Amino acid sequence: MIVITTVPKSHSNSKIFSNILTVILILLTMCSCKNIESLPYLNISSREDITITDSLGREITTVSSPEKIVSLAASNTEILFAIKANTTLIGRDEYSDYPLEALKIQSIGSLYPQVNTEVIVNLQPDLILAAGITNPDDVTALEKLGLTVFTTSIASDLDDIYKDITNVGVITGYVSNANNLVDKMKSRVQTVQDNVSTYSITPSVYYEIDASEPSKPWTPGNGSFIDMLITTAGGTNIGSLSNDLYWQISLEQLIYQDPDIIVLGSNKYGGQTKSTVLERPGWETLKAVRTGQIYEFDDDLVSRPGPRIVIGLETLANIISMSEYSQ
Amino acid sequence: MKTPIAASILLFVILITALVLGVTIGSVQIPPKIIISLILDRLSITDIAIEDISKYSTILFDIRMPRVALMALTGAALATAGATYQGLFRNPLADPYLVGVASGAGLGATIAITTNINSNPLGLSAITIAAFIGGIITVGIVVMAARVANTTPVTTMLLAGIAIGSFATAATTLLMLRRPDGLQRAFNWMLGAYLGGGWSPVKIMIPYMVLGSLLIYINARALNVFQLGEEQAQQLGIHVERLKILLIAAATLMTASAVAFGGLIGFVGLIVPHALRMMTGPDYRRLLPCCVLGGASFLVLSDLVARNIMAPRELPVGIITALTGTPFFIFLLRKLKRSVF
Amino acid sequence: MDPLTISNLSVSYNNQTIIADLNLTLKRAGIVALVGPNGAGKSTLIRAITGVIPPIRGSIYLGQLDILGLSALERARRIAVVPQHAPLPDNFKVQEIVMLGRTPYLPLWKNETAIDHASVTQALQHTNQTNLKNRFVSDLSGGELQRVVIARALAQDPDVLLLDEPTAHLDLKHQASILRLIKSLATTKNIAVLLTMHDINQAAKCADSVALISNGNIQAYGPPTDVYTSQILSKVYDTPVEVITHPDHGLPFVTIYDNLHQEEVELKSTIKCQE
Repeated sequence: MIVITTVPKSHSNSKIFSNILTVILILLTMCSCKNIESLPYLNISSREDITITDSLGREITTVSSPEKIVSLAASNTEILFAIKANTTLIGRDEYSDYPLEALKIQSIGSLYPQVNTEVIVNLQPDLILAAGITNPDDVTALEKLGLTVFTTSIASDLDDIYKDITNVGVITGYVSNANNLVDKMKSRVQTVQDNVSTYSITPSVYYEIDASEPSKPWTPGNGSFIDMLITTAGGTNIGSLSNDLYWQISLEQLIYQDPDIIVLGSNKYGGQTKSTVLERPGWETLKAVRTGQIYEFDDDLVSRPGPRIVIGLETLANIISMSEYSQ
Repeated sequence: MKTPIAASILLFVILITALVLGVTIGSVQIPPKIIISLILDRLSITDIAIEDISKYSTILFDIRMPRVALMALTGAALATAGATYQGLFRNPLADPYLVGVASGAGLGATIAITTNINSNPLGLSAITIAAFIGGIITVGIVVMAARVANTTPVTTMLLAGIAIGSFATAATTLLMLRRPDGLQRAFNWMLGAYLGGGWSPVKIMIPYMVLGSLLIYINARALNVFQLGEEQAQQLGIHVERLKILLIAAATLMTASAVAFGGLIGFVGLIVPHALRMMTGPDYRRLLPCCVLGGASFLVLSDLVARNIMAPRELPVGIITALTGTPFFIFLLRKLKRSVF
Repeated sequence: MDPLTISNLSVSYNNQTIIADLNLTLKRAGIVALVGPNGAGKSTLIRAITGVIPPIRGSIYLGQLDILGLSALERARRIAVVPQHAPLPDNFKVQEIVMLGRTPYLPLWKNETAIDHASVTQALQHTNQTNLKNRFVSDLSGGELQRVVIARALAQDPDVLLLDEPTAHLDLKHQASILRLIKSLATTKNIAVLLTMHDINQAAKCADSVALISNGNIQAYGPPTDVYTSQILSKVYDTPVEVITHPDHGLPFVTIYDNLHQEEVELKSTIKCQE
């Protein structure tokens, strides 16, 4: 405990000083008197509990078939809808915009600067689904409040996504839907791979993540998820020059590499379009600009590790096969 | 002008009001009756059956109260440290981040984020600890760099602080660019540390706050004398070098903990002391306790606005402090007839 | 009562020896004026006595008390200084500035007592500033500010009072009143006073003894009539000077030697010769 004897007594303000310290101490005692009790509203009934290991390697125990789920990431929201578990969804983050029905579910606000724990606690969820991109501090904070959080992986390849979908199926009780979804996804991917293997040419692709600075745009590097998708879709990613997951390529380097195709992943959130690219100084020398091989692309399709990843792959494959350098 | 006692009482009342408002207003509406019965229950004065309102109990005691307490402590720390630095450097532009604490904390936090340390020793995130250590080390380097034969001239300290602070900021930016997967998180941290950590940050911050402010308050009269300049202060019997080191250590301790737990919130440390000085006059024995009360109130109220004005979205507190504080401060400046500092 | 005795004092600053082997005694109730050319070491001597620049050799004793061995606090109880440049913060009141003079008597955790307030009141009375005590520093004139700093020094209840160029930048009226004040304080409070002065004639008027310092050493010491000879002064100031005895009060009056006319006369005579 803190001893306040050294504070001089004669000065009236020191009394105020010690008063405020007392207020703080009262606040402290109020909180430390009782520890966090288990929240009775969780109402763990006679239903069985499931234990499953999440992507952070932690064992998560929850009721089977939770009735109230909050999703903190758009990717998981999409998974829930795809496996028809969306009836249990009672809260979503503000970026969960697909499918359109998701917008009808209550938003818990943005995850920046931190998740709004009040709103989530007020919803009294059985389960919270976090994703690889969720701030670990948010996960810790929610767990400290007695809530159950399951985290899907950061997804470095398609297998990670299949595993996440399967896990979500298990933890929500929609196992067979999840398994079916994964099977369908695998077969669609296989189709793309089969088609690609028949191509004789592998066009070079420049995928643009962000071009706020057109002289130094951001592009995915070697080993990144998008890089893997491009390769699977039958192209080569010129961004694989660097081993950084994503990096800024200089315009000079880009001109030197002279990609066959430009994919504007910077379209949905960055507002880049074919015409804005044409206006960029120095870009007119690029072959892809001259031949009009610029494609606006919904980057949600490749950045959300969920069911639509196959659509992203298929779209990329279509773009690549459509460009005049394919068969 | 108000008498000193009236000023303190007014500030105390404001603080209590701010605390009450902060705890009762949030994204989730809790009826006041329930708040009161929950508090009475927690103090074991009465007992109520907690069922459906247990979620309110969680919100009140585990989310809002620690948040408000954290903001109060952070505001008090920043305002007090700011006043101290202004007195130490005899410069009205001084703020608690002047000698490199903020940049050092930012660098520490970014290093922790980009090296993906995910451990939680002592129930605190490694990022918080790294930020704290980063801040302290940076100021230590600045003080040592500024030493000239057993003395630490304040002007040299200022310059060293700016230089080393810039270096730390540049290093941070470089790190963030080299590891862009940590970029979002590091950037978020710069705009405001994670404020949803519950009671542990509060409990840990209290000793730093108390220790730091007591150390400074004991030297308040010496700090008054110091306003005459180092030479005159020494000729009046003040041990000038010892005073400087002590004050810097205490203020840095408080600022480093404020930054590590409450984030880089600007404006409070610079403007609140000036505004309060208009009420209390230049005597640090009066100014410092008022900084504790006033800084706490200001930040609690700003956080209240930040949390609620666009609920359920949350704005960074620093934006609110600047937006609301600036006009108020300019208004005060215009009213005053004589120079404040 | 104990005089302040400075023996064999050597002070260097920035690797330069400013004061070398200096000896000087300041008696109680006496005023010593320290005069000399620029850079002779006047301000440095004052700073050495107050502890701002520690001397490399020598001793300073107040009676039997070793001043150099004292802590800053102890020293400040005995030695007060009115510096040449004493910036005062604008937003302090006169009373608060003078109260700062009580710092040496207030340990860290203590606040001012009735004794301190009495001391401040007295200091203000002596310097005729009682009616100014609630004014802000920013509202004061140069002369009034000087008095405030003197009052603050008085509040220190010192045995020795050092003033560095106390009349610089003041108009004649204020110069006169400050000097009158210092004279009365020396006798009524039994303080040993040392003041440095640029104007050697003014120094002669207000001081009992004059110490002429040059090249870090006292070249001459004594009553003005002894020290102000054209021989000594011309050598020290490196320019011919004239010393006249003032018809009214008998004190020496020093001016630069007027050889400007002399050159004109010589020029005219040269021209005349050539014609």
